[in-house]
Amino acid sequence: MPLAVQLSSLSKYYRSVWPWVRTQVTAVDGVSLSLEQGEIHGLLGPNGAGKTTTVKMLAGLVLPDEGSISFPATGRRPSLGAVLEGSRNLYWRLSAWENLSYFGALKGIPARQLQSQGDELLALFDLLDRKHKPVQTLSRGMQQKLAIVVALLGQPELLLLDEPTLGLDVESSITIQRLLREICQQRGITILVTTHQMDVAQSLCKRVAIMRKGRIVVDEEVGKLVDLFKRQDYLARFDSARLEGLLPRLQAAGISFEQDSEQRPGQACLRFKLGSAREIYPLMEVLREGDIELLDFHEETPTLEEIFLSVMRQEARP
Amino acid sequence: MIHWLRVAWIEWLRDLRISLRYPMEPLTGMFIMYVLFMAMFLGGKAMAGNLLEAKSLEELVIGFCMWFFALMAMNQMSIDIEQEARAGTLEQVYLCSGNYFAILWIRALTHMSQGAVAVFLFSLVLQFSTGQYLQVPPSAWPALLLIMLLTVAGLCGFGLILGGISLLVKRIGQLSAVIQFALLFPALANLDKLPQPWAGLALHLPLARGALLLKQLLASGTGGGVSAADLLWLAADSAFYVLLGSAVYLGMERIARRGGMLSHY
Repeated sequence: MPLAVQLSSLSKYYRSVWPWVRTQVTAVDGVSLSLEQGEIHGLLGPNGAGKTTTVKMLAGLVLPDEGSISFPATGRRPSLGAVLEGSRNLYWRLSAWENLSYFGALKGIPARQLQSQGDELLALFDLLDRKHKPVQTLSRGMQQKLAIVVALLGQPELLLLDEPTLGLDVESSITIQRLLREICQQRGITILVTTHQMDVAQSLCKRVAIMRKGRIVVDEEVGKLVDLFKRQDYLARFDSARLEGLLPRLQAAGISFEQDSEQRPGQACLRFKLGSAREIYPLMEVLREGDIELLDFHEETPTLEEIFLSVMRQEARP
Repeated sequence: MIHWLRVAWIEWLRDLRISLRYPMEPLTGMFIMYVLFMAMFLGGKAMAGNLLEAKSLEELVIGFCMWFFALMAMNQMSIDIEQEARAGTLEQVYLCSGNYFAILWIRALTHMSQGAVAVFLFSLVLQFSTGQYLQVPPSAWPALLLIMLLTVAGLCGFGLILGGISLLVKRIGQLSAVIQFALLFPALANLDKLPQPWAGLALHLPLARGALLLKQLLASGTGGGVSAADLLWLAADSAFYVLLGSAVYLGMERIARRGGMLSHY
């Protein structure tokens, strides 16, 4: 896939506008990031990591101090849609349609095209019946969807979303994620999403970059990241009545394990750290010899949240 | 050009809709202006008695309407920026338009067109309340409109300076209030009566020359009393404020973008 956006060694230092205040905060420190055309890229990180500043530099709202932003696929700045302040990006006293017609006109979308495009997007986001309702009367989820609809007007090539599902209930969040995936697939829009919600990033993004203290510490496809952080941990579940006889056998065979906290009535769960899949055989031998029935056995896959926390812990080490 | 005309129309609609949906704000503003004018009128009458004749009343009404108009031209940009930053729409307008400076000018024009209607109605109420009616001869209207247009353009330029400051520090209500009342002085006082060189300098203040020329125009009773040189000076003053305001605004905008302060409130 061609690169839609390339950030090269981008840095941003915030200084006071008052010359006598000599404080400087490094918000973004040499960030290099590539976004492939038509992919959803996540930007994760704790508060103050520099995510929003990076997105705003990309949008042209904040000027970088160092580095460059280029658009290799098109050679020009792509048309842009953004939701940076959530539903606060809308005029709450105006109706959904009045917001669309206002922002659409600012974007230079011809009136007739705006009408059809607006209706199509409102229908897609299930807001058509709220078209003439003031934004302030819509639910939080609807306002958020409307903010995304406004950002999608004019069929932008690049969509920047800062915390698009923050504060939404589970159902609204899942709906927005589904719609974003559909739009990305159908229209080939490149999307950059910042979020604190790891489950959202995991289900939505093809690739994620993790930022800490203004720097990107990890930038990888979600699937590869999960593989990378797999700890060869296997979870096995047994009848708890048989556990007493099993533990000495495992110790005798030299198989390391720990009891997992996950509890189910009448069942016990053990976690095995195996260096490779071949080490499963001795374990199976012990179980066979003891005639212990295995109720469940699976390799544990780390969630993005666990990966994120692990990265943060590693990076925090001196 | 067609794009910007459409933007002007949609801005006009947005402004009107928002005004109608926050009706207390414009109504209260008009009421306060009315009370202020009547206090000045009745106070002046009590002190000056019969000496406050029709001519000076005309000057008072014209000066006051001009001041009211000036406030709208000057304050609206900074008020808009403050309100948009507070609401969260500033960055979205910035991104969608791609040229916020042009949007500010368009907004100034739309506010002026709505303001002109408000000022016209306001002047009728003032005349009705005072029982004395302005008599502007038809021959004076072209010069009157030209003077108002040039004066307001200069005030918009001055408003850009406040808009630029507002982009950085957001809340400038107190500064605006001081400037508002400071502008009453050039709007109502006879600055040309000041000793030189103060009279010459004071006439370069925003609103000063425009208000003086309007008074001269009405005093002549014929539409005369204003020379081409006066109009040229007025145009030069206005152009100066527009250029200065634009330079200051664009500089402040750059500082705001450097400091990531566009959306700060």
